Amino acid sequence: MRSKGRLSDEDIHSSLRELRIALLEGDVNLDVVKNVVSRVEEKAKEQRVIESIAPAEQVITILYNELITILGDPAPLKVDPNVLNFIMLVGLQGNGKTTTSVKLAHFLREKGMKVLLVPFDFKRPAAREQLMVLGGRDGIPVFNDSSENPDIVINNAFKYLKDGGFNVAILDTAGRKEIDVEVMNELKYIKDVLHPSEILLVMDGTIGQGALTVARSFNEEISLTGAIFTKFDSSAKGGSVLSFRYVTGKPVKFLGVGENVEDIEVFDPRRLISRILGRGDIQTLVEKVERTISEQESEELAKKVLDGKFTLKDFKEELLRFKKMGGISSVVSYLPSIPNFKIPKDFSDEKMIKKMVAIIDSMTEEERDDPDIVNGSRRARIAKGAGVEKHDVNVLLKNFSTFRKLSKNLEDIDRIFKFS
Amino acid sequence: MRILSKIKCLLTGKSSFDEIEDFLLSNDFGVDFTSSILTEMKENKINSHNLMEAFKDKVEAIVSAVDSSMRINNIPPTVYLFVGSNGSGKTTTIAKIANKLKKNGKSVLVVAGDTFRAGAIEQLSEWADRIQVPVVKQALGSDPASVIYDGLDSGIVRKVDFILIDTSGRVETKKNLIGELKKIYSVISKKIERVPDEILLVLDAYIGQNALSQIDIFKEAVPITGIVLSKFDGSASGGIVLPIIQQYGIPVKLMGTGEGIEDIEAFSCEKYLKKLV
Ligand SMILES: Nc1nc2c(ncn2[C@@H]2O[C@H](COP(=O)(O)OP(=O)(O)OP(=O)(O)O)[C@@H](O)[C@H]2O)c(=O)[nH]1
Ligand SMILES: Nc1nc2c(ncn2[C@@H]2O[C@H](COP(=O)(O)OP(=O)(O)OP(=O)(O)O)[C@@H](O)[C@H]2O)c(=O)[nH]1
Ligand SMILES: [Mg+2]
Ligand SMILES: [Mg+2]
Repeated sequence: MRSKGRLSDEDIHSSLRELRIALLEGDVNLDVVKNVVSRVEEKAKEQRVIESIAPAEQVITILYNELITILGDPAPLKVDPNVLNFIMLVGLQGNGKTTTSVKLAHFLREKGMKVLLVPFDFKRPAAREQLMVLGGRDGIPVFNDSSENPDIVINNAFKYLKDGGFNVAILDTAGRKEIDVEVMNELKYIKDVLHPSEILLVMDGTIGQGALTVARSFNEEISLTGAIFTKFDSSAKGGSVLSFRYVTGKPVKFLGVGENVEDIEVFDPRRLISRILGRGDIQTLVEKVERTISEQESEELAKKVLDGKFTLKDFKEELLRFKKMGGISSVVSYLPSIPNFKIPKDFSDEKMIKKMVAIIDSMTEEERDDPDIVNGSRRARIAKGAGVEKHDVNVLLKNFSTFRKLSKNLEDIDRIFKFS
Repeated sequence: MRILSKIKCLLTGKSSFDEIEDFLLSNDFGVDFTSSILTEMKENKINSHNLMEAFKDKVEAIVSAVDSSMRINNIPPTVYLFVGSNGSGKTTTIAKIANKLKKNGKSVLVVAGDTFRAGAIEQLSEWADRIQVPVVKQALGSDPASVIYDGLDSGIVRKVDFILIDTSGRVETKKNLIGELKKIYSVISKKIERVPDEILLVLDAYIGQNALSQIDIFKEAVPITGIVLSKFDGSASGGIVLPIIQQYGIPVKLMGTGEGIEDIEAFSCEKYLKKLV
């Protein structure tokens, strides 16, 4: 009985009941759940019934978009290669700061940065040893000062960083409780002295309802620039990420997915949503909604290609999509009439895609918008930042311009990804 | 927040089921446990003014149905094994317990069974030095079962009263690490010719619903005898332990109440409730 072409209250409520449970069991904070559910309810009531789509699916689509809005856009690390940057990791005890600091150092070094790890935990037994071993294992220098006086360590580290020509210093601070005023003040002090470009909350992904108050307190005290969630290799759903975003509005930059130095991933909002909602009856519906949404995006992208508004940023997105989908281009399937189109083998070559993405990442915003300005010296810098040869940058730029012209000459696609 | 809602209850005279539901959900008790408690209260026709009292009674009933005392073996050494997820507080808890036992005139030996995590051996050793108890250790990367065997050997030769065994943190999804735990368990049981006197799962009080999966998987590998609720000094109360006690019959035995060596207590239902409501 779908009267007046709107979703019925009954349909809405029965769908929302299950979604609410999924969110709560996924450790999303109750306040956030209530807020989201009531907004979805409001929107669902206004929505016209689409005959071809089940009401539950319509409700999930609204919720999905609501969650995507809360989770926001991905944000890269703020690191300026021309100055000395400080990155400060803060958080509750045992949530993964020390391990994450080494993962970040590793990540930044791959981007061509010279990174120093600075132990700043004078409390936990063997905190410095832990960092020394982890850094040493990966060839990342660790500042080794015998002083346990924060001011002295900062002063000495400053000099060492300047003399050594470092780009980034990562500060591994001691674990602390958000309700402990005195130790929270210590953080403020360090922040005022160093003016870090990033102050990241490192939070255990298995944390429950308390994530909201923890995130709020740290953010109020020292104004975070973002967060990294760890232990996403556990089976925890990770709803705490939503609680964090909801209360701070700050970006979640990475997820920790293991104890080793390379076990870090760039945060992907979609994957989080399917992780939380991927349960029981709603799973298939969620998957269907995801497909629809990504199809819509592909169509938009295809339109951009056709209109010639396709930028290097879009190109990167598309490359990442190839990687995820194991080689099938979603754009291509939306471009008009491609006779006998064969999917090139190279599209599924992870290594090569990684290389190309690294090159795009290594460019400045300006260069990404207008690749024509990339001259010899820029090319050298980009290559260095991405850890590739100059020649590779040339190949990428050529590939890109070919891709842009794709709409006219699709058969060319086979040639595009021929990296040497 | 809690006080405000209580005042609101007093003013409106309405301590409703909705409010108790919110209270339970926002303290990590979980959807199933919360709805079962509410159903029970409704069936028992609890007056809406007495919901909080009824809740407290319920908690007391659940907690007192299990034995929360620490087991001690008649013939020393008593052997405790500590397991759990990464960073939950195992190593610190061991130091605290060793200290407490020593202060009560017992001889203690600790075993650095975490041979994986960088700095783990040094961390336990530093604690052991501070409180002056012997530690048995091997190099980073060596086989944990072998260090533990050595530790038991050494403890038995020295005739210590207690042997406390540390292990690496592990998340429940890592099959090989859970398998490693099984091996550790069987090595200990063979060596002492009985099961360890306590196998304690250390749970961080901030943990959410993942605690249930942790219990499910860990208890398949080793017979967990109790829980240590660590970081109880923080803002979280570890609501999830109640469904765990009820569902699995596994008691909470100790609470960690700080980073200091003295910060450990026997689990007290009273303190637990006091923090919660
Ligand atoms: N499984 C898993 N373990 C992790 C991850 N990140 C960190 N760990 C582990 O979590 C434990 C705690 O990590 P640390 O880096 O020592 O945490 P911390 O925040 O520095 O701890 P404190 O300095 O004591 O506050 C260690 O056993 C790490 O190996 C992750 O993403 N997954
Ligand atoms: N506030 C507070 N902090 C605690 C408590 N217990 C442990 N910690 C802190 O939590 C952090 C991790 O503790 P560990 O004892 O190293 O934890 P673990 O389980 O051995 O960690 P892994 O061996 O890396 O898995 C340290 O910073 C401890 O000081 C507690 O009861 N309260
Ligand atoms: Mg640390
Ligand atoms: Mg440990």
